[in-house]
Amino acid sequence: MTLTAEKAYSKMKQDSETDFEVIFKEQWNRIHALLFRMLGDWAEAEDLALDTFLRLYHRPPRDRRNLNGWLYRVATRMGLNAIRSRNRRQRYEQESGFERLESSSPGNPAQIFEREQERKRVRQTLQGMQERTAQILILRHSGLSYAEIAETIGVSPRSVGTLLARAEAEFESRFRKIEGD
Amino acid sequence: MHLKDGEIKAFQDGELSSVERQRVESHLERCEQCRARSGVLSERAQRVHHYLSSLTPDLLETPQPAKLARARLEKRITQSEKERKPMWEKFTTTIFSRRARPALAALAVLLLLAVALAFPPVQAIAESFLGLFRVQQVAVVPVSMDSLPEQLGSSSTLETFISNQVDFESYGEAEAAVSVEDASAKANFPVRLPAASDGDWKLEVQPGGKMSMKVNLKLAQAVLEEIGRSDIQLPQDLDGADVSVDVPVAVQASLGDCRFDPEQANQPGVDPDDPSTWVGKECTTLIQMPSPDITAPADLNLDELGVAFLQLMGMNPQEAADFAKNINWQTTFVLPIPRENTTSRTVTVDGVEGTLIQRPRQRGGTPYVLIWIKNDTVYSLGGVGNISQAIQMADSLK
Repeated sequence: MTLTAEKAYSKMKQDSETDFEVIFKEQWNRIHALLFRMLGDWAEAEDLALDTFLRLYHRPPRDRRNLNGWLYRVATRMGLNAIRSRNRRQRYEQESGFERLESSSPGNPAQIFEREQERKRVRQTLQGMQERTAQILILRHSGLSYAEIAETIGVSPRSVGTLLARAEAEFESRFRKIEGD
Repeated sequence: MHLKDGEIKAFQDGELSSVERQRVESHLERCEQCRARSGVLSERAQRVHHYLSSLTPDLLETPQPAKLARARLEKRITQSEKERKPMWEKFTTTIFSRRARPALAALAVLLLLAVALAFPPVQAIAESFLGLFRVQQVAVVPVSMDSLPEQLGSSSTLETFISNQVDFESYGEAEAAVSVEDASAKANFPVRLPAASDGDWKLEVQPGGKMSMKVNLKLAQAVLEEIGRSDIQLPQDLDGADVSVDVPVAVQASLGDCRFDPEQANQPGVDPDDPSTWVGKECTTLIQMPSPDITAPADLNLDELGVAFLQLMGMNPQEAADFAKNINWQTTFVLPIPRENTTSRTVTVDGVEGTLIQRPRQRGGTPYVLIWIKNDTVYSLGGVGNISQAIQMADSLK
């Protein structure tokens, strides 16, 4: 079968566009929710999720076989960077006498306060960890399988259990320290 | 042998194959120590899970639906494309980037010039551009960047087009040479170096290559349409033409710190074309290459093709026709430079007439490229700084 030139051309064009649309539809919610977990703010999470996909659009990885892994890696890295710079900003804001409330959510004020405090400690803990260690925890708790995690951070699936067990131990000890502060 | 933490963890997470699962299960049944360890790990996992679940969105905290997000992304894409440098700008930046690249990228560029379609993939280096036709002279076309089709800068279609339509063949890898004699022997032409310069020139022999394609006029026109220039007419006899370019071996000599660290340039967030990311700002390169051969059907209307090319560069049909009249397309390499921030003038160099192209002064000096052709060999000297020294250097070639 031979395609005419115009057909071949438009097919070529559509293929790359379709790939992008398919991935976007499949992964948008997961990436967005992943970043929300890390940041606790839908608007900020959306901003970074959009940037993640923008990067995919303009500068996709050369190896296209593992686009999902690439997306998670880029998104978690952006999320961790955002937490870091936010912590710097918050320190400044606290010092200068005001503190920004994270996105408002339903519940009674005491509960909200309680939960926000816990979320904050969790994020602080993650932020203090090595990037890869924090990534593993976030990815696992966002529902990724060992195989998907392995793909994302570039390790063999067999080592994910070990890394995860270590990451949990480290998380707990750091979390306790922060709680004790 | 006791179980490892990783095995226990994978077992608890249901991530083991059935064979492994049975092995772990039966071990746990008979090993008290591992059972205890398993308990510790699972309790810790539950606690960590509890903490991390605090990050899970509440039901009422609903995210944007994907459709809405897609619309916002579209907006961001449009915005970013406006902000992205046109490929044209990247090209001219790259002229001065002194980055040695294998001939393949240059071949893609030659093709583009040859079929007068559009601009090179970003990787191309101008020094290797000179291969078009059997080049005997250089003509500079000042191009207004505003009049270039915007899509030229971001046409991934164009890159896809090239990768689908063109065959590239490279004759090997770049190879270092220890002396001028060694380089001459490897490249099979007499290599010259400036007598008037301090320091040691590093020599590298760049492989030759061959690019070939059968022109598909409809595809080419479709690309023009895509970038919004369907008004440009390509010569009808271009269709089905076999075009091939033989790029000879080139020798690159470099002086000073010319390291280019691809690792650094490929870091996320680093624009590989941003001059401030280049390593080796104190670098002078001299490239020499016998004029390459381009093979195209004898009856191909080069003038018409040239006019199309000039129009694509932003000239109106009348300007293009006037300019093209004075150019012998068989023997001239037409080098487009941006009207706004690049200057060019004719200088006498190495006993012949050459072209000096300069970019605005930046940190570390004024970048220049000096191009001339002598005895069927194309020379290009690029660097940053003093022009009279550069000309002196070129004049002292031996």
